[in-house]
Amino acid sequence: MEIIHPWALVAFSLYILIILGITVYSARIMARTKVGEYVDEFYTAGRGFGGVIIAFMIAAGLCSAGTFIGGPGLIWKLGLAFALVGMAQLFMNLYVLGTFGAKIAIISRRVNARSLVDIFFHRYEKNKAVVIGVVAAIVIFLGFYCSAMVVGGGRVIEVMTGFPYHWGLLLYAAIVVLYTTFGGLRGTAIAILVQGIVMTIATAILVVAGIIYAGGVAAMFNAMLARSPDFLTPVGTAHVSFKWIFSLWVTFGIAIAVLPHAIMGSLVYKSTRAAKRAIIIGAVVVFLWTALLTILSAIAGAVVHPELAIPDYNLPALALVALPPAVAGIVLAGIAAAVQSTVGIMLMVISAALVSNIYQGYFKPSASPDLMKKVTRGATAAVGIIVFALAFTAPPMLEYIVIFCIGGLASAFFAPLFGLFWPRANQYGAIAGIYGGIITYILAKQFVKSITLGMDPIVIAIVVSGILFVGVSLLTPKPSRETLQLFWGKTKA
Amino acid sequence: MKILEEYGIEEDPRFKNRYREMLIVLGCWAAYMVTMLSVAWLMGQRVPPENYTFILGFPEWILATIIIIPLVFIGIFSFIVMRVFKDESLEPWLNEKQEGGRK
Repeated sequence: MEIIHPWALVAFSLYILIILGITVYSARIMARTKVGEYVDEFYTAGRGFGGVIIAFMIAAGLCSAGTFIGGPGLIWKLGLAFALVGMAQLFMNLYVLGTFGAKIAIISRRVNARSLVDIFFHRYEKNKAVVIGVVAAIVIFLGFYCSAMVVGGGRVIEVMTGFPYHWGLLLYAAIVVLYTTFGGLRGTAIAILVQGIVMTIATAILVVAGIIYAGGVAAMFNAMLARSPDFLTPVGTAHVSFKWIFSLWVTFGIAIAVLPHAIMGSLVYKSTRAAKRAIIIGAVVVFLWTALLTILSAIAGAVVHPELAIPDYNLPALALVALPPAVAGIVLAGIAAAVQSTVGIMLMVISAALVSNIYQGYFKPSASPDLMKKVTRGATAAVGIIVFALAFTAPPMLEYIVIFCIGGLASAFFAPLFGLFWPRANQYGAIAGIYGGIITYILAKQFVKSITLGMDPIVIAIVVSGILFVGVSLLTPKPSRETLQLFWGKTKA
Repeated sequence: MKILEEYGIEEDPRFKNRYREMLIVLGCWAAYMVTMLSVAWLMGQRVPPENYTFILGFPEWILATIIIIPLVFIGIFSFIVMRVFKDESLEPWLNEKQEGGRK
């Protein structure tokens, strides 16, 4: 597959130019921002985003290499069991904006939150152990998640352009680091909108061409049936259980509501009307991406290429044979966009946690606005560079890393976030819930697999975390009046 | 919410709505999951693949779970979101004026 397609490169370069244009535009806005307001503008961009941008910020921020590369890879390998799992993510925007995010939208304006960490910080009495646990979970799980995405992106470039993996990676890194570092959340959000549109166009083109190339819908499914009847069943060739499918419906369904990069959307929408619009637009675009691209194109790909070196090559390989080179370049840009949109928003979250919760929170509360501006930019670029450096050693199957990282984050945050709706919850319960959740998840995943009852450990970890959270909260003193006033009260007093 | 009374905190009515909406969304997730997994099991798992019914070229359970049921739920959830969820101010604190000028 080491053939360079000049036309594919032209289409791809065009996409990169548009993103660079957005970088320049948003960097100019940032340059006009007063130094004293710089950090807030960088991370929250004035909290005035409308429905369309929020819809894409959450949907394209969540759908990335997992949806566009890893999912199709697993469908190629295991069959339609993974199609059924993929459909779980359809209403991601509803889960994010309709559960914790709905209350966070108001609270974030009360405490001027720049990320999910600030919500934990204020709800749990500014407790250090809570903040450190939350930041550590974000840095570790989101960091690995992020670099897994980058690996996916590098592979797509490799397959489709013949560019060596590491060079593709560098090209990739440079773009994302530039627009996050200089454009802040505004640059990231506008880039996501463009990326979302490119993703949608690429999806539509690939699914139509792929199905035609595979000989039509009926021929495609017949070919699959002839090759392996199990491929078409809900448990696939891996013969997974419905219990296990259920646990992944937790992972890709409701657990998504606590992912810190998804919650960014609920910190910055301008009105409840915008949020409602974002929920509906989100459902439609995620339907297009998941049902059409992931599933139908992946099946077409499995028919066209029964043999593949790496399962994750499924869609790029399909695009190369089913489309003329220039058009294949659009698909390449679409997949690259899907990955970059996620990496960009994740970098913002990791950077916000480190800069505002750790650096400003504990090391230098008195940092001058000038210094904060430098630290914000420096930290964002540094996080980006570290994540890309991690991606230089590529793991074989992307989707498993995605599942591990969502599982880890949800095990830590799901139960303690119910403190938004349960006033009696306190910091001790939160500490028990966060650390207990992470430890249970890792133990169950790596060491004592028997306690998971045949499911992904996310289910047992959330249950354990929830019991610890409620039990410890009830056994320890009540939260302070000030905290409850902040999270439930009508007026400031 | 006994603890709020104990502290004498008057609850922001917006948070009551948000709580109610959260419960509705959890219900939506459960309803969508139960429907999808039962249909997959009934149409796709109990029947061996050799005996699948094909509609428009799709095996029946696949057409149902990746196209038809999702579209139906997009319709239902859009209705719930637009009609049941409240449009509210996002101002950090409610002052007397926004309550309808009672004072």
